[in-house]
Amino acid sequence: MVIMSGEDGTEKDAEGENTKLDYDEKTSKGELAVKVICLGDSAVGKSKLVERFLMDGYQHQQLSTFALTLYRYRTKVDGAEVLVDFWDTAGQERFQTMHPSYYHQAHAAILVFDGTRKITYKNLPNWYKELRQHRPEIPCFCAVNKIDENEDIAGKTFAFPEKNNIPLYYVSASNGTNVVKLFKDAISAAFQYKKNPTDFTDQIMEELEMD
Amino acid sequence: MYNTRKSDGEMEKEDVVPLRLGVRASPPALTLVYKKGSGMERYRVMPIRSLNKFGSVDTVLNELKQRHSQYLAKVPDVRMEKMMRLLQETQKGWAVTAAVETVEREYSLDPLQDLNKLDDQQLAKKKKVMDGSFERNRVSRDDPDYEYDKQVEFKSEGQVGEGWDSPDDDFWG
Repeated sequence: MVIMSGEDGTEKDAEGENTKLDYDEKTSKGELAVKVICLGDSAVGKSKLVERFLMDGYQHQQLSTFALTLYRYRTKVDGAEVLVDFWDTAGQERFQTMHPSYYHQAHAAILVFDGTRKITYKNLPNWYKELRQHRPEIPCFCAVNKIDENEDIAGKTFAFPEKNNIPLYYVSASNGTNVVKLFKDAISAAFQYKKNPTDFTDQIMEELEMD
Repeated sequence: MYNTRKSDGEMEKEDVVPLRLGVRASPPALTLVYKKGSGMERYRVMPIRSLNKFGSVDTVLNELKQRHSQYLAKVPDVRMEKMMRLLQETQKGWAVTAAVETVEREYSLDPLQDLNKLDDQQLAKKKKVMDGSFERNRVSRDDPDYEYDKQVEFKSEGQVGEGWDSPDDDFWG
């Protein structure tokens, strides 16, 4: 983890970029900035999934604060340089609600439940409802984690993602099954959404800016 | 100077094979049955000093691990932690059977328990249990089977539901 203090007192990552970004703006290097948030109950494996995805050896950074853990990842999508910030809850989920800033400017969401604990599936609608209150239109993905521990669950249908038209991924942070696919799909959807946002709130913002 | 030859202590550490872990109530101690190489079983008593009846056992556990590192290196933390929790419960005056029940509940996973409602310490215990199975099934980068982008397709057609859905569920569908 590398955090440096800039001359103006703001925190910078190892590349000299501010840790706090305005995701509507390009980065100082001209990269597109994309924000992907993780949601779900305590101990479903959200951090473990992000960490498994980041195991490809590319440079990434982890920035921890009281209220969230930020994983910064740089990649290319359709030939464009993209900076991806994965936001992880850092225990905030225990308040049963996330601070509005967690959802602010998010371009995609990954909803995780634990394939060994039914209660985490039953709580999904609460997370989804809150997400949609803040971000009605952003692409959303659902992942059932720990399929290595409960192999029977892989391939089973689940009414919640099905009814809400959310793609479901059967994943394991432990043995790596489908983790990279999940994150690559989420990044790609976040990128597309950023280029062509349809959220009502975004539209209002754009209209205000034009005035 | 850095020496590539292993010190005696390191040699011994490799040799110790822990077999059974236990706890003695009075005077409080952790007990370990172990084997060294092809030798016979041995028994070691490791006194536990200044364990508080309440609160975290982490400090005492770390001291013990340092003092008896060559014997405890291969013993999972969570096992020792459970023993110390047992000790705490009996020190509070609970009978052994009741203490065992309490500790088992703390370190077992109930699929219907809402872990969002636990405090930091309680949640940490559950996570330790989960970390055990995570590590057991882990395919890491050094593993010959490791594949960064491992994809497995699961056919959902014809699959019977998991029974996690009930008819009265409303998902704002």
